[in-house]
Amino acid sequence: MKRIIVLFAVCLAVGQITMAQDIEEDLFDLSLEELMNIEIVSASKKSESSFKSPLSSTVVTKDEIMASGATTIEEALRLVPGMVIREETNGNYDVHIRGNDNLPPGNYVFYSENTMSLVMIDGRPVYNYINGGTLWESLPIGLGDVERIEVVRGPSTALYGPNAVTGAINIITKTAADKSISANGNAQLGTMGTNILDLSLGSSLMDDKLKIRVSGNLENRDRGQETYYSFYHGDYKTGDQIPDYTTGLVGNNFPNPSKSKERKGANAFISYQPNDNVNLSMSSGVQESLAQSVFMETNMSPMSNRSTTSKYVDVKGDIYGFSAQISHNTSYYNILAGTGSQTSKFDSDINTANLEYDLNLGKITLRPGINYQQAVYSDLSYGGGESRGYLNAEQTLSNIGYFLRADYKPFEKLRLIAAIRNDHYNTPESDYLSYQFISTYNFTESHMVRAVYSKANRGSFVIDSYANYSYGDGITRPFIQYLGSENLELPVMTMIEVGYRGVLNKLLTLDVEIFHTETSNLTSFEPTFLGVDNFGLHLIYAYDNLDLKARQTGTTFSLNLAPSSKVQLKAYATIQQTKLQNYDKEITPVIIDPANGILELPQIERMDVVHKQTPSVFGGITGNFRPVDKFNLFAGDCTT
Amino acid sequence: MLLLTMVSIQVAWAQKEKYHSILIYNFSKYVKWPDAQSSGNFVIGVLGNSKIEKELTDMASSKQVNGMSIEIKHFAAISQISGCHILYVSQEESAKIDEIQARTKGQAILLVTDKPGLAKRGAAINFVEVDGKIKFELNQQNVENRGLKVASSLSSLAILV
Repeated sequence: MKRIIVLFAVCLAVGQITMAQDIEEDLFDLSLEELMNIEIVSASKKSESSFKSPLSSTVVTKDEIMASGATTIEEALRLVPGMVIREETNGNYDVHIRGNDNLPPGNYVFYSENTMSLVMIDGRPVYNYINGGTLWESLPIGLGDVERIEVVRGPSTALYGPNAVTGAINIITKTAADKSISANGNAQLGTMGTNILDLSLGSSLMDDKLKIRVSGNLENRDRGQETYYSFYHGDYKTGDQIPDYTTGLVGNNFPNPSKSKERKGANAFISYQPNDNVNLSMSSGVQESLAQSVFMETNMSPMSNRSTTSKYVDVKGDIYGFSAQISHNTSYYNILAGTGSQTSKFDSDINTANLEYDLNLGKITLRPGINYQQAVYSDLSYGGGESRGYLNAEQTLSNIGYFLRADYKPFEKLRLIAAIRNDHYNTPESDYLSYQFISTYNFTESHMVRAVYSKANRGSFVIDSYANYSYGDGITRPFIQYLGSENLELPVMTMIEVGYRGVLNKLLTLDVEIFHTETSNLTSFEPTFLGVDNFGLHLIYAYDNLDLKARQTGTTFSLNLAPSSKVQLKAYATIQQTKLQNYDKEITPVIIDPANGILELPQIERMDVVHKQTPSVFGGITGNFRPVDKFNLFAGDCTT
Repeated sequence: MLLLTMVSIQVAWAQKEKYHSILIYNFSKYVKWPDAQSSGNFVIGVLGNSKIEKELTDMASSKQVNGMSIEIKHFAAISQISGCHILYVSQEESAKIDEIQARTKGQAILLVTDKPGLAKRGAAINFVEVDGKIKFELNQQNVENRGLKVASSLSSLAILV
C-alpha cells in the first residue's frame, strides 16, 4: 500500500525541495519559539519522497497560494511550471498544460479553449462535455476551499481517465481543523468591481474521527467597459445594438454589459475515519455562475455570455485496500446566454463510478480497477424538440474503463511502473487503449532520472458528436446545417519524456523535463459540403476528423534558489516548438451571399507549418521573503 | 486520485521525526540534569523502532550538548534501558508506559513520548499535533519527580498538563 501510494505520488515544486534542504540546516539555529511555528504538513511535503516522484508534476499548497496573493484557482496555477494561463476577460481564464492549444488554428474561438486536460475536484471530473474543457467559473468551490492543487504534465489517461491528454489537475479540498469548532473567512475588495468572499465553518468530533465543514463562496468582477465589438457593424457597440444571431433581432441580448464574472457556491464536506483501514467521505454543493468572455463567438460578436447552475454529490470510501468513488452532478447550462438565446440551453446529468483495489505481492504491487462515466445532455426542455436547439434531442455519452497499474522495484535504485487502461466508448462505439510506462533511477539520494512513454486520448463531446442545428427554415435561403458525427475518432496523444531532478547543492535545486508529443485525430468544424435540395443550394458545417498531426518538442525547467530559510527564489520556463503536418489552411473564406445567390466553400491549401499559437517560451519568476512567520512578501512575474 | 490525497500524510510522518529530533536537541538546552550527569557523553536512548533514531544519529554527528558529545542508544526491550539523559519511547512501545515508568523510576531521565495522553501517564514531554504544527505537552510534576529542572522559557511554550 505504501509503495503504491508513493508510486502515484505527485512530486512537489522543485523549489520546495531546496527549501527543505536548507531548512534542515537552519532549523538547529532557530529558537524553540520559531520551531513551534513551523507547519509540519506543508514543510513535510518538501521532503525527499516528493523528490522521488516518477511523474512530471507539481503541487501548489494553500500556503503558497496565500503567499502569492492569487485570487482564483486559475491564477494560482500560474505558480506551476509548464502552464499557459490566459485571462480572457477580468477573472475568466483559459488554462492549458504545455500548450497544444488552438488546434487546428484558424478555426472558431472555442477551438482555442483547452479541451485536452482533465480537471478534478477531489478526484471527481468537472468536465464540460458540451464542447469540451473546463468552465472554471462553474466550479462549486472557492479558493478558500483549496487545500492544494496537484498538476500532472503529460498524457495521463491510463492513470486518471479520459481527457487527461495534455495532463491532469486535481484540486484537493480542505478538511475541518482538529477543533470542535473552527471558522475561516476571507473577504477581498478590489478595482474593476471585484469582490470576493470565502467563508467556512468546521467541526471535528469523536476524537477528530468525524469532520464536518461547510463553506460558501462569492465572486464578482467587472469588465471595465460596456461595449462589445460587433462583427455586424465592424465597430464597438452597446449590447442592445447587436442582433441576436439566431433571430436577427436587437434587444436585450447582452443583459449584463458591465459584468465579466459572477459566481456563488456553497459546499458541505463530511469525512469519517473510524480507523486506519476505513476512511469515508462525502461532499455536496450547489453553484450558480455567469461569465462574459470570448469563449464562443457568433457571427455578430466575439463576446458571449455563459451561465450555469449545478449541484453535485460525491461519495468516497477507502476500505481495507478498496477505493470507491461515486459522484452525480446535475446542471443547467446556457453557453450562449443572451446572444443565441434560442439554441444554447442544456440540462445535463453526469454520473461517475470508480472502484480500485490494492494487491501487494511483495516486490510488485498491482492496482486493478474499473471506471464508468456517463454524461446525459438534453435541450428538449428549451425548444430543442422544435429544431431550435443545437441537439434537438437527449444524447448520452458513456465509457467504461478497465485498468491495471503495476509498480515493480527490482532493486533499490530502480523503479518500473506500468499503467494500462482500456476504455469502451458508446460514442464513437469503439475501444481506446491508453498506457503509461514510467521508470525512475536514483543515482544517489540527490540525483534522479526518469523516463515516461505514454499514450492518452480525449473523450467525446455532445456537440461534436450530436450537433443537429439548422439556421433558416429550410425553404428560404440561406439554409445552413451544423451537423455532428457520432463516428469521430477521438484525439490521441503519445509522448516520450525524460526528466532529471537534482539537488545541486544545499541552496540550489533543478528539475528538468524534455518531452516530445504527437497528437492526431484532431477535429474541426468547417463548412465542408454544399448540398442541393428542392429549394436550391444549402450549406453544411460538419464536425470532422483532420489529417493534421501536431508534433511538440520542448523542455520545462524549474530552478529553485533558497539562500536562507527566509528567502526563496524560483524560476521556471518552458521552451517549445509545435510543428503542424497536413494543416489545411483556408485561402479564401466561405461566402454566404444570398442576395446575389452566391454560396461558396472556402478554398483549402494543405501545408506543414510551425504552430504559432503556443508561445515559444513561457514561464515565471517568483520570490518569497518571510522574515517572520506571520509576514510574507511575494513578488512574481509570469509570462504565458 | 484518492491516492494522491494520501501522499502528504505519508510524507508528513517521515518529516515529523526530523522535527522531533530537532526539538529533542532543543529540550536538552532547557533542561538541567543533576551534576553527576554533566560529564561524559550526552545519551539519548530510543526504545523500540522509530525513524527518529536515524534523525538523531545524523544530528549527533554534528551537534553537542553543553560540551558533551551526543550518543544515541537503541533499546530493543525495556529491560535494556540504562544510562541515558533522554529516553524517547517509540509509538509501538507506548502502550508499555507503565512498565517503562517502573523500570526507570527515580532516574534522572527526560521521558519523551509521541502518543496522545501519555503526559498524564508518566511522560515528561509528549509530542502532539495541533493545526498542522508540532506542539508538546509538558508535565512538570513528572519532570521534578526525576530530579530534573525545566527552564521557564521551555514551559512557556508547552501545553502544560
